[in-house]
Amino acid sequence: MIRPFAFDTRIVMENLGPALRFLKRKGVAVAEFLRRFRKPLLWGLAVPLLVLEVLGWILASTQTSVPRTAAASKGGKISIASLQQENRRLSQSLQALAPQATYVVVDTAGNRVYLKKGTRTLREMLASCGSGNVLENPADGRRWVFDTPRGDFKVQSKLTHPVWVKPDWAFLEEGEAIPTNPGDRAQPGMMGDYAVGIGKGYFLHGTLYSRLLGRNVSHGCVRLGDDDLEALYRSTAIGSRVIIF
Amino acid sequence: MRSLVLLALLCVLSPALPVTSAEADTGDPHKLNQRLKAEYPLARTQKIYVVFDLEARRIALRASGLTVAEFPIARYRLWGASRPTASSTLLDKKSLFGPQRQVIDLSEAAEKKSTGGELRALELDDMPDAYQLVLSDGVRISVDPEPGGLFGRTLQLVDDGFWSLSRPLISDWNFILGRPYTELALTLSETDARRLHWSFSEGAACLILWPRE
Repeated sequence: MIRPFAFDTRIVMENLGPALRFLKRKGVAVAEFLRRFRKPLLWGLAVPLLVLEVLGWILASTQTSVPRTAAASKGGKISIASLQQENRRLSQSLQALAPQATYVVVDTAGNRVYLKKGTRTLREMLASCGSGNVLENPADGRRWVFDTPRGDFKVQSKLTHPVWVKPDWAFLEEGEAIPTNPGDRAQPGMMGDYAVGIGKGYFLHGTLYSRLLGRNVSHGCVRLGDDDLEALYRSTAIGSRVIIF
Repeated sequence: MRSLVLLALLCVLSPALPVTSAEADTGDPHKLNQRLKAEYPLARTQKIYVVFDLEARRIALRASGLTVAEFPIARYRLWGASRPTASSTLLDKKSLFGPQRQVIDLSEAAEKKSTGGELRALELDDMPDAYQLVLSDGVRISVDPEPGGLFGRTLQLVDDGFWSLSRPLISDWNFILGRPYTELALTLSETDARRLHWSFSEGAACLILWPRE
C-alpha cells in the first residue's frame, strides 16, 4: 500500500542536523556578504530609500487640490455677512427637504423600523427585511435578488386585509408549477391585517412567521408584528416618507 | 486682590481667545458654505448618502438632509493631498472575505420549506469588518475594527509603523503616475464597521468633511 504522506520523527531528526549546518553555513555567508558590501549596500539601497521616503512625505504635505476658502476659489472676496446669509438660505433649503410630518425609518441591517417625528422616535419596532438571497430560474433565465430597496420613499397605498398575489418566484421556491389562472395566485391572510405600499410591489406588512422577526428573511418587503403594523398603519398617511437604509 | 483682578481680566478676554472645538468649527462660514453647497444636491436625490465628518469624528448616514444613523469614529489617520469638500461616489468595496449571496437551489428549496431547514440569509454578521472603499475622486478609505487586547494593540503599533513607512512610497508612485494620493484610515467598532459596509453600497454618494488644515 502506498501512503501519500507519513510523518516519521526518526527521518526528521536524522535530517535536522544537516539542515541546521546548512543554514549556519548560509548565515555565515550572508553575514560575510553584508560585511564586505556594507558601504555599496548602504549607498545603493538605504540612501535612495530614505530619499524616496522624504520625497513622499514632502509630496503628501504639499500636494493640494483644495481652495483655501470659498472666496479664494472664486478669485474674489465675499464678505462674511453675505456668506452667512447664503448659508442661512442653504440651511433652510436643506431643512425643507426633511420630512415635516410623521415618517418611517427602516434599518435593514438591524431589522428595526422607527416611527419618527422630527428627531423624536415615537415607536421602535422589530422587523424582518430582505434576505439578500438570489433565485434563478434555469427554465427561462429569470433572476430575483431578495433585497429590501434603499432610499427615500413615500407611502403610495394603504390596504386593510390585503390579499397576497403570489408572484412567480414564490411558486418556484416552493417547487410548484406557476399557475396560468390569475385567481390561483390569491393568498388571503398571508400579509396580516394591513399593508403599507411604497411602490414597485414593496410593502410594509404583517407576517405569519413572527418568530423570525429580527432576522433577514423576507423577499424584499418589510415584515412587522401585528401590533406594530397596526400602529404604523394608523400613524402614516398617503405621502408619508419612508426612509430605508 | 491680584488674583481677583486676573480672574476678571480673564473673564473679559475669554471671548476673544481662539476656540478649537468641533462646535466652533461648524461656525466657520467658509467651511459651512462648502459643506452646504456639496450636501444640498445629494439631499435632493432621495437616496441615502454618507457624510464622513472627521472633525466631529463621526460618520452619518443621511437622507434628505436628515441623519438616520450615526457611527462614532474611534480613530482616524489621514495621508496625502487635501481634497475639496465635494461629493464623490463609492466605486468599489474591497475586502479579503467579502459577503457572498446565497443562490437558492430550486431542487432543495421545496424540501427545506416543508422540513423547516436551516435559515440562510445575508445578515450583518456576514459583512466584513476590515475593508477598503474606493471613491470616484481617487480617495481610498480603509476601515478597520478597534483592536482588542494587548495583541491587537501591538499589531496596531506595527501597522502604524508600516503605514508611516509605506505611504510616502505610494505617494511617490502616484506622483509619477500624475495623480494626487489621499488615503483615510478609519477605526470603528466592529459592529459599526459591519454596519457601514452594509449601508454604504456601490454607487452611493458620500461627502468627506476634512479636518481644518
